[in-house]
Amino acid sequence: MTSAVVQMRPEDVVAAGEKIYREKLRAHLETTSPGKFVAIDVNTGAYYLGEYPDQALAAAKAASPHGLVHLMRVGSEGAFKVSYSRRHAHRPRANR
Amino acid sequence: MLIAQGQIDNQDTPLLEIEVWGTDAGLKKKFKAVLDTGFNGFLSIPECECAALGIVFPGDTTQVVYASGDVTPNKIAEGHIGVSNLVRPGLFIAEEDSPELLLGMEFIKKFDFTLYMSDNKFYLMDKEAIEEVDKALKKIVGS
Repeated sequence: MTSAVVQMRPEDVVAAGEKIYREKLRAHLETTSPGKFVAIDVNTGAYYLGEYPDQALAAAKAASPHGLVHLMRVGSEGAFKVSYSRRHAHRPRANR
Repeated sequence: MLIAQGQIDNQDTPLLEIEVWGTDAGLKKKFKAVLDTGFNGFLSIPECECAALGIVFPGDTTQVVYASGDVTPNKIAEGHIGVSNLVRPGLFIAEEDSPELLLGMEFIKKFDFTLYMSDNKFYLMDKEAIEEVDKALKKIVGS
């Protein structure tokens, strides 16, 4: 038996994860686990919580190594916030 | 005791030299990364740098909110950062547009660093170093 790996665009993984969160998880998690990171397997709907984002992701991967995961922070629009921006530069500061 | 020294450049950007790799430490490379205390993650890295460092993105995602209000879908993967002789694993966020590596608050937390800034330099100190600084300060103020 062979297994096919279904490729999804990042935008589609995000949309699927956000939909699961909005429809099935938000009401519960925003009461019980505000501020925690949640990794949602977009194929099964299973979710895994962690204090750190890599903890939540590792739990999801342990349960389903080939699952597609969308990582969120309970109660926040995005899991991560960035304040710095210097998009006019052209190359990373690599030490070569 | 560990004290890592970074520099603040002429645009007031704090830069720290780090080593970065995915799962194979043999592929690690040194970068000067921007320390962004307004970033709550571990490391944001230009996607174009990742393949050479052995960082593989299996399709997992997250969303990043920028100061401009933009919200973008980003790929994520696990990787490692080395500072002097310390190494910590953490979550890497792939950034398509920015050429900079960004270190955030999760980086400081995972290494258990305390940040001290002075003139055009900054220092990241571990607990042992902070204890020594406390002792020196007490000696100076005579308490």
